[in-house]
Amino acid sequence: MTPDRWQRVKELFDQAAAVDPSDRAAFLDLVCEDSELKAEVASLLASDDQDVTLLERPVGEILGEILPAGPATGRRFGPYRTVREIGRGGMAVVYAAVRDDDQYRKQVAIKLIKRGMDTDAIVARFLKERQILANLEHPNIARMLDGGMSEDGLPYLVMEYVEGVPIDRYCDQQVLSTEARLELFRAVCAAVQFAHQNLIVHRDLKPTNILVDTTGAPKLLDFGIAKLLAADRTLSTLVTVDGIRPMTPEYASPEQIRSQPITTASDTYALGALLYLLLTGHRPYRLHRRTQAEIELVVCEREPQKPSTVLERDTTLERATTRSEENESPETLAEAVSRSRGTSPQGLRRKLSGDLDNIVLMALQKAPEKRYGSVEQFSEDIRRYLEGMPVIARPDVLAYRASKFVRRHRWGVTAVLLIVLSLVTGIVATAWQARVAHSERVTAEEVSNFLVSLFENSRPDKALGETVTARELLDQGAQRIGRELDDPKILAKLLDSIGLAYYKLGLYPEAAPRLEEALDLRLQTVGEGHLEVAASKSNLGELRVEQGLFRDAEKLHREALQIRQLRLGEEHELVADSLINLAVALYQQGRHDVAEPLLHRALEVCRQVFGEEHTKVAYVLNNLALVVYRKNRYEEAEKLSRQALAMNRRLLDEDHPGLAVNLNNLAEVLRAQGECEEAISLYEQVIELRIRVLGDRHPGLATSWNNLAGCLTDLRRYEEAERFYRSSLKLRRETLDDKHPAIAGSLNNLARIYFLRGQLDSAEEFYRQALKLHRDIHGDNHTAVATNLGNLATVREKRGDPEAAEQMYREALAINLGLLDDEDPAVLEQRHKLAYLLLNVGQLDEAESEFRAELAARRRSPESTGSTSRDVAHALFGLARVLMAADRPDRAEPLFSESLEIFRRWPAEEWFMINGTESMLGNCLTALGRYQEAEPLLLGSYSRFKDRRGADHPSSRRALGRLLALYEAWGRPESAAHYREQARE
Amino acid sequence: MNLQPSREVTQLLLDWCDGDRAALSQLMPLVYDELHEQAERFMRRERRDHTLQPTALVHETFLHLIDQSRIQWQNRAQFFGVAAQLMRRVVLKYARRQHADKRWGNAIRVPLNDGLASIDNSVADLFALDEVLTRLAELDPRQGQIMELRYFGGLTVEEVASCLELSTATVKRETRIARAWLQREMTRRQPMEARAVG
Repeated sequence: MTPDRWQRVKELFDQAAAVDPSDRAAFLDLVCEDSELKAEVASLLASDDQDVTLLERPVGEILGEILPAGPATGRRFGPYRTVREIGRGGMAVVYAAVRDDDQYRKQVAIKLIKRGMDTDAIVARFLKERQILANLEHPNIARMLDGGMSEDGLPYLVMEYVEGVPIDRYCDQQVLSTEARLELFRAVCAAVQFAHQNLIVHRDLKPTNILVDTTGAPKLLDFGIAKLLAADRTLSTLVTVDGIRPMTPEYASPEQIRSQPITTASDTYALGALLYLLLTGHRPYRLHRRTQAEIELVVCEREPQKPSTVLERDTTLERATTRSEENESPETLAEAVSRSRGTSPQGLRRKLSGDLDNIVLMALQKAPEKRYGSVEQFSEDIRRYLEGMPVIARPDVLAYRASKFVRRHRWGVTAVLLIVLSLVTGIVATAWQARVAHSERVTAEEVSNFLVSLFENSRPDKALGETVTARELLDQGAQRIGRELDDPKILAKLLDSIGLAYYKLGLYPEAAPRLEEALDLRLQTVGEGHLEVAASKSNLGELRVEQGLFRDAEKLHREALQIRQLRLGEEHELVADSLINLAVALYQQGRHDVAEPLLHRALEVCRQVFGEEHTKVAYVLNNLALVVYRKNRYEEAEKLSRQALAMNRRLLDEDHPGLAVNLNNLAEVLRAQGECEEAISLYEQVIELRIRVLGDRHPGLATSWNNLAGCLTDLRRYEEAERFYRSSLKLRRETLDDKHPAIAGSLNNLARIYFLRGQLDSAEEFYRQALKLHRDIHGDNHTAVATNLGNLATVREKRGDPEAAEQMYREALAINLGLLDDEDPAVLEQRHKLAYLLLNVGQLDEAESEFRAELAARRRSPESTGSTSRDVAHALFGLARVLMAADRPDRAEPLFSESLEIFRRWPAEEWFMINGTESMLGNCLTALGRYQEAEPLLLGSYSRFKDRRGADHPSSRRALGRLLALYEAWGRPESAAHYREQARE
Repeated sequence: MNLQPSREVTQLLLDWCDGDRAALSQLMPLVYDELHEQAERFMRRERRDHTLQPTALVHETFLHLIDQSRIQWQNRAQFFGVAAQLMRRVVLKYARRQHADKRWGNAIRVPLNDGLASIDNSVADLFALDEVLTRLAELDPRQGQIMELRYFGGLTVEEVASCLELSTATVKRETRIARAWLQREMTRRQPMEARAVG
């Protein structure tokens, strides 16, 4: 390391130190010129993060230790005479001493209280408790032998003299295995337990107070001394003026830090911290500045890292260090730690993770009542571990996970869910007690109400993130209530809440039985017609929609609506909810015309109840946009959608899932209008938001991927589309029930991609799978089945099987006509396809009548002048072609002309049809002998096809053929010959 | 019992500053005794707050030792610089002496209840610190100076800043990285030592 290079290291260190620790590695990769430099800076950052050691202790403290206070030898304390000084600190000096009258000259240790500690209160307490401590006789506890006042009036204690090394150092020196450490630790526990039985709390357990002698027996020092000395100490005196050097705060329990009552549980905590150190070589917390604020924050608020992971962290940090060294000591901290335990880092990590993590963390719980009930219990749990039996300690899932989770996710409702979840377990306990005392039952009811209301408040947002964690919590709650509750009313509420939470997490199979049971219980206890029953029906109905059981959902919502209207009148929030839910169920069945007025009614009610600007209003607008969109009124849909989005942006947190729904719908509307680029950017926002808030396992994400893929398909970006469709399908298969319509939807979409890419085998395979699934779900008579049949027919047609195709088209059309009205887009789509097929197989009369039926319906549609006029143009074009095939160019010509006029309004989207129509119209005009009109159309369309698709493309060849036909009919053989020449090339 | 500022000490200090190494060995016991005395006085005076205030201690020790009329201190920086260097040597010398009395491994440890580490531990750390600090000063003289003032002069960040006419931000920044470096170098040494004695 040269000074120049050191300057560069310093620069990089400063910059990296300002970067968030998790980003540092990436940052260093970016800025460091070479790997050595990077390793150097990384290792400095690692040690910057480390516990403070000597470097934080100014010289004054060291001076205090190395300067002897007065003569160390020959001082008299009662019958004892000091031999030498053996230790010193802020509170006391310790001498080795012997009894003058002891012929064996047995050594003792004398702890002399320093000046400043000799207050009246301390002296009084000291005298009182001295005797109690003197009675504490245990082989692993250093005995208090005597005590008194020195000649100059300072209290002193005479204690058994102990020779040994601190327990942590002993374990490392002896290279004790984890098991051996646990055994030794249990011996310490036994001594502490003995003291506790004698009503003495140590209060200051730490490695330096637990010495191990040459026989390997631990000896605890200073039992109860802390209480003697610290009678009136508070944190403010523990932390000195400089803000450093308190007592060892790593072993002090939160209640000690906060000067709250100290009990045996405080010793349990300190033992937990000690065990942490013995197992991992690390203290449970890393304190940097040791200010009062930091100590309080860290000890009282932070959760300690799991023992098994603390090792891992340092391995990665330290590895950088060793790389930079000149091959001399390639040992990481983790390696050193595990070596002194006779194992490897991996081995140690494996050993610690699970039971030992849980045991240590249970002892280190912030709240004393959450720790082991006694040191004996703690020790017993270790014994169970050593004997391979199940341990008592379980991670404190609710508090621990919840706090971490809430820290990660800012979004309010998420936090609410976790509070609710913790209440689920809380209420279970409360309700359990309710069996004992009747008055408690009322309380339980109240808590339960609160619980349910929190869920209600989080609506209409369906989804909550971090599936795995929240799911664990829920599973626990769900398990417990069945076992521990028997009051059907409370049980119903809890089942309802838990079911709802599962539902919001997208765990539909788990949600269903709970919501069903809740409904049953309510029907039994409060009877049909009760608002609670309506609530249950409503919740179950929402779930049914997600499960794809739309008719069931419709029925439930109708019943809920009826009860609510009867009980609450027309203008009530809950009535609006039911209207919206019913509309959604109908919408899902394709019954848009019935859904729309319900939503208008809901909008009215919401505006009356909540005013113009409210998330509920936005919610209705959003749904309305969706229905209007399905009715192909895209511009109106876009307007509604943007209105809803703007309102929600004003009202909701930017992470709110409601925004994702909004953005998604707006994107759909834009996509329908061909604005794919903007739609894609919205979908990307939606996906980013959903992953951030919901995690990457939520079904909502599958929907977003699916929709994005649809857009990409429109843009002919088939490979990307396929990838997203596949991801979507995979996620849906993993998270949804096997028979969920969305899975069929994914199969259908993938099939479409294959079809568009000309992979007809795959397309057919996927369409058939989708069809089978749709039939399993809906039976034969469903629009989804019809759509699927139509798609499959198209593939069969393409593969040269017009008979099968025709049959399927007719079947699809029949299904749709039975369910939908004549003008429904789905009906018209089937007609269109069938008509073309009929044209291709030469059944011209039937083809003509299908096209005419389609055209008539499309012209009746109120939007036929807007974007959907393109559909009119397509129908016109099809019909014109039938007429051409029937040798009626005179009737075809105006139809071609009209469709061309419409197509020309969409030059980008419809360029292909514009060219095709021009070519066909030219052909038509040739047939009518209007050569001069035909020529520019035929020339233009041919050259454009050739430019954009190449001369060999079938469209180009057909266009060329029509041009040749023109010149031949026109009697211009030289032009014909010219183009025939081109055709040959 | 107040020592009068000693002509002798002052002269020795001046000699040492001029490069007379022999002066140092005469100087150190005098400083040590005075330090000791000051520490005792400190403890007697401060009944409640019994923690040693290193800055005050060093400062008072020197005030008592040195006849300031004879020395033209160019500035505080020089005074504290000399003080810190001297303190470093004194502390090391007496720590070494104690260390020799009680060899690591059979030392008796009766730790105190206020959380101070045992003597041997600190002393070993102290030697390590001295060594790595010397290396740091070779690498980056300014950082070496800052850290010496911090640890052995007992100066706060603000005091170091005003001594060396640097901004506190600079001192903080330099301290942080120097501390990280020292910390790392010291921990690299420790496993070796443990192996040697274990």
